[in-house]
Amino acid sequence: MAQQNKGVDLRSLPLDKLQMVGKSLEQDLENLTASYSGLSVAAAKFRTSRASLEAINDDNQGKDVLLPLTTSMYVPGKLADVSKVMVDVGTGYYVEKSIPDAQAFFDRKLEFLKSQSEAVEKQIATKNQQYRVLRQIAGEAQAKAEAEARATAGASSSS
Amino acid sequence: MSGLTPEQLNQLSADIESAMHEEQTAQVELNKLVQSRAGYAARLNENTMVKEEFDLLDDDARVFKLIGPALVLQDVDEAKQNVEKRLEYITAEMGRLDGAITAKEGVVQAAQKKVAKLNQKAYQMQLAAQKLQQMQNMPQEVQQKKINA
Repeated sequence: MAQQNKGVDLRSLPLDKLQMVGKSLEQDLENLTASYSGLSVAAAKFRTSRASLEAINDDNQGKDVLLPLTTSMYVPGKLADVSKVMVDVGTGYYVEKSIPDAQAFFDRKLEFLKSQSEAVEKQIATKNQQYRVLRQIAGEAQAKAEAEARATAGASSSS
Repeated sequence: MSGLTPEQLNQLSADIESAMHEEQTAQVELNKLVQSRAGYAARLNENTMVKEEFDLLDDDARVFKLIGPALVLQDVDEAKQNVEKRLEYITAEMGRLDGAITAKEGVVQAAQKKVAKLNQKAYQMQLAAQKLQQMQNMPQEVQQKKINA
């Protein structure tokens, strides 16, 4: 919807149309901001997972750990196998990976999220710019409409 | 040529109301379709990423599926085929929805045109009535009574 306003001179639109375009821009901005923060949350998760891999090494083989069964309950355990981890690849599938492979997996995901975030960031900047221009034009149109209303009111009361 | 008998006026406002209702209903249906398409787009994304991961797997890789609280070992080829099939299904569904959305957009636009046309008609009738009033040059209250009668 918002793409249409690129070809149209905004100054030629009536005030209510301008407001409609503004609403749709606001909506777009809201959606983009939401997906941006969603991407940030996902990236943070992958970063944590990648950092956790650092602890899965030969030095820690056989050491005691506390396993979170839920976020508030832990059971003691031992690190039996430090050569492999299970990675969630999505839609309920998990893949057994070596530590370097798992690191590569998280790097891949982080790289992907980074490029997505940058794309969304650019879109947000463009929309913000469009929104600023629109607000300015809408403000001018509003002022003009009010001036005209005053003029006609003055004319009809004097006649 | 006032064209504004009370019956016609009532008929016109009823027409406008039903046309607006039609437009709203179509718009709601369109929104639903767009929403469900977005859901499929998200699933397509996730499944595409899983497929990309599966394509990178070594031949001896072990793939599990989370079923309830248990990880169940899967046959890798079977898992690949499953994702493939799901991608096909999702793509087909999205194609179907795209068609439905285009059709519904047409319905919404037609309904919008109808509303605009009726509003235009109402506006013109009003103008004609005003002209008639001015020509007859009656006091306002008498006019009002005549219209309301």
